Amino acid sequence: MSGPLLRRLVREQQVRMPLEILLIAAWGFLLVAVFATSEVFTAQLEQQANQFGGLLDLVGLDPLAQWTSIGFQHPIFLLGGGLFAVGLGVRAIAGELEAGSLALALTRPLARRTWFATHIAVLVVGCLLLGLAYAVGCLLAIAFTDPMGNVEAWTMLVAGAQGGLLLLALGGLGFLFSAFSSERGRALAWVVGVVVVMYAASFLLPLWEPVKDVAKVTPFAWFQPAPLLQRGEIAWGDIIVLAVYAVVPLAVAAWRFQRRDLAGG
Amino acid sequence: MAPAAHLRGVSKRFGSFVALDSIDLAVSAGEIRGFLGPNGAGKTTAMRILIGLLRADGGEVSLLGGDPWSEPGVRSELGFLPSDPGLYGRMRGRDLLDHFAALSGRPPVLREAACALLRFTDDDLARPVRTYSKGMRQKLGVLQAVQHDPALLILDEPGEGLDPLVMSGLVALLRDRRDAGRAILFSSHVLAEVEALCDTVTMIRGGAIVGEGTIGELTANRARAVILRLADPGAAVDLPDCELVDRNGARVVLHHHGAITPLLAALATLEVEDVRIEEASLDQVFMEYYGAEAAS
Repeated sequence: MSGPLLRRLVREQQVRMPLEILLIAAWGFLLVAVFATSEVFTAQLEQQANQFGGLLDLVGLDPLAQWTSIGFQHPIFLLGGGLFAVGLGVRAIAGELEAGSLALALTRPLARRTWFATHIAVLVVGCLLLGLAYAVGCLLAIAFTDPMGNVEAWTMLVAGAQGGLLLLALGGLGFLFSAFSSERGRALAWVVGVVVVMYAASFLLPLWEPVKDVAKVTPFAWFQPAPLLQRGEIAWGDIIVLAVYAVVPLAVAAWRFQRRDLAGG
Repeated sequence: MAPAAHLRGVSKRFGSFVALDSIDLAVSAGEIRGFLGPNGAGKTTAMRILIGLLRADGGEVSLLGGDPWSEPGVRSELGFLPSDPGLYGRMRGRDLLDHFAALSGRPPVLREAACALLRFTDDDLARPVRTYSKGMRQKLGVLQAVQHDPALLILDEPGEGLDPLVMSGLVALLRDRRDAGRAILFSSHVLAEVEALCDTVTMIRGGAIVGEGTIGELTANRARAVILRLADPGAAVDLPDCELVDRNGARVVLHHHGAITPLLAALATLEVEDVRIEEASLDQVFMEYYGAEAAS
């Protein structure tokens, strides 16, 4: 890793990242606070859980666990975290190449793998912080509002880390398309397109029996925090698959970046 | 003395387009080499191969004794200014220079002197880069390249956007570095800059080197321009070893090849109000190499 590069990346995030952490923590807090103060919501959720429980694997779970697990899979969480993860990836190569700043940095005694590894370090820490921010927001709301149900703090934190792993997988896609592109906008368009299609597929495909297993090609299918939050069961298989979803695009991106011509900018 | 950087027989294709066709280019310590060519001739591609941003398809590349593609460490003694430097707009000028100095791993020993020559003040350094004009961005680009006093400077169009006062400061700065034994490769479209600054020139066209040498060597044996203003606009002009280039009434432009004494003797027989005899310029050499290409 490069110290000067790391300092610059951290400085770039010194306003944006706290805001995103606050946004996601506030999302978790509000979700639980609303749950705690609205019995109507609770009743509706139970009804919905009975209807769609097979889809979300929520049948028979604690209402609070159901509610907080939905927040992890909600577009607000994914958008808040994805802004950071995908944004960092898209900017790291295609964005800096297009802007002309990559040429200035890489004419220093800075290896491309060092450039890449430093960005990955920031990505991993940032995704973990954002995943945990939601968990902490929920836990704070649980402590202050005492809602119906029971969620252990450690299960919430593990689910938060798992949420960070999902964001890391999205960030990996950002790096992947960035490594193959010389234009930030083009890379971003590809990532957003692929992520939106995968997100929609993870919800829609299970509704149609012949193709329901196809949903498992998306990383979203491997992040189901409800059983963990309710029963403390860590789904190691899901974690490993999510880790593969994160590592494979990053490895391909690193391979490509190491070999490609940097002709733009 | 071994060159600070060289390309030997280097080729590069982008798909079916041949960007460089087996070119040789070298720059040595204590030398300012101009690198000339029209847009798309291959200057930037050659420079990017030299610094390791592009990989050559064939040939040999050496930068400060190493391979810039596989040995990034050799770039600690490199200063590079691209034609359109990407500078982080949110950073202040001073922070940006500190960042690049830290990436280079060398202290910015020349920053103060270079700032003075380029008329870059402390107030300028304290402002965010996004508030800079084009000229100030260019100055900052030059500063990040030279501040750590690298052994090799590669500058792509460094005079772009600089006013004449700052340009004279840049010329003084580069001459000073040349005299201190640094190697400088310098590309420009402004031939007067190249003529004023460079010891040697390499000319590239269509991805191939078409001319190389000192300014004197390149301009030697080329026609002088003889510009006359005649007292009588209708007078005949017949001068030895001269070729008429243009005539507009009393104003006559000729190209002269050969000895100067017979020309002066013949001029003495004409009634002229004014006469100018100019040595062949780099501009003329450039037009000879590239004029046909531009016309086509």
